[in-house]
Amino acid sequence: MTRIDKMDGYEIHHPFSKLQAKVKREGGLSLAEIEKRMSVRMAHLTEEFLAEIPPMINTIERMIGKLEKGDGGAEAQAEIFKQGHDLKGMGGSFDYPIMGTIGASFCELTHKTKDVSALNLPLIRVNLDLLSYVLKFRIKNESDPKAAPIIAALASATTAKR
Amino acid sequence: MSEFYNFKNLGVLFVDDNKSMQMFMRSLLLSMNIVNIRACNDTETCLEMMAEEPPDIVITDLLFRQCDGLDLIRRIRQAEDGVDRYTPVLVITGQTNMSDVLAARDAGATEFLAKPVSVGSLHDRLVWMVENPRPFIKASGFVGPDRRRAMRGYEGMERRK
Repeated sequence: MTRIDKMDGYEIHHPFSKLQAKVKREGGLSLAEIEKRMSVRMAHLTEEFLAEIPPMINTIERMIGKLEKGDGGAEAQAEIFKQGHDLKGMGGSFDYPIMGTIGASFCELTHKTKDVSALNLPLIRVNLDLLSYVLKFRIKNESDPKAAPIIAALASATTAKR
Repeated sequence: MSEFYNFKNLGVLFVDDNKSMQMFMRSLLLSMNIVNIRACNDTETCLEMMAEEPPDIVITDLLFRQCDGLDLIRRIRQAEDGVDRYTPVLVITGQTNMSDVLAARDAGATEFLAKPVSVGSLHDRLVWMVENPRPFIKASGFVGPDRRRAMRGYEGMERRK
């Protein structure tokens, strides 16, 4: 079923496109209709997402604690990075972009290119405090008046990083 | 003009070890009328599920606690465990550095979509994949979609350079 053209040192394969065979125009939904359907589900999904944040905070707290004691090493660093990665991806998806920003900051602070001994643990902790604050007041983005202290803290944290 | 696509017959296998992301993606796909949705947390389970019932598309993150999304893509392209090496692979990840995008492309990803994901961005990418199938290249060091036709995500990143 796959046509194969043999070239000089490589092959070009032309596989049958299952996507084209299965996706039709007839009976399809408009993007507007799909968005409408998704918006109905979002309120429940967002609550589920927010319920996942406290365990995430606890995990990061535990990992920071280990690192502060000189335990944990690269494993604790990788765990904080992973939590940050998840938060970065989900924050915006669940309409909490400010959580995505904090997640990105965790990732930047714990990237594998950084040596464990060189991690800025106080700054990682600042980000954790910010996450707790954002969750407590359910702050979605920087336009929320309650976000002002966070914006200031992130700005000073960025300055401190330099 | 609104474009209508019927995704109802698609079988999707979603790989992500985050529970919230799995629920979110399931809801997105259900909103598109896709009901044949399976999810798993890691490479080994994904390959097993692919061998058991071939999906029409694999959607995967790149970073997992226990494994590596790039490794998963390479193993699919090597047809490990008899899986269909031509299965389209859409990478959805928060790792959006150019090096991550290029690594996904070089592992054999079909398309790339940066998180956060929305209904619109996922719909747009799926439509692109349906309308623009890419031939595969099989060479000594690479098996995957022709890299001379850039992934859409990669294309966008290039434009921003």
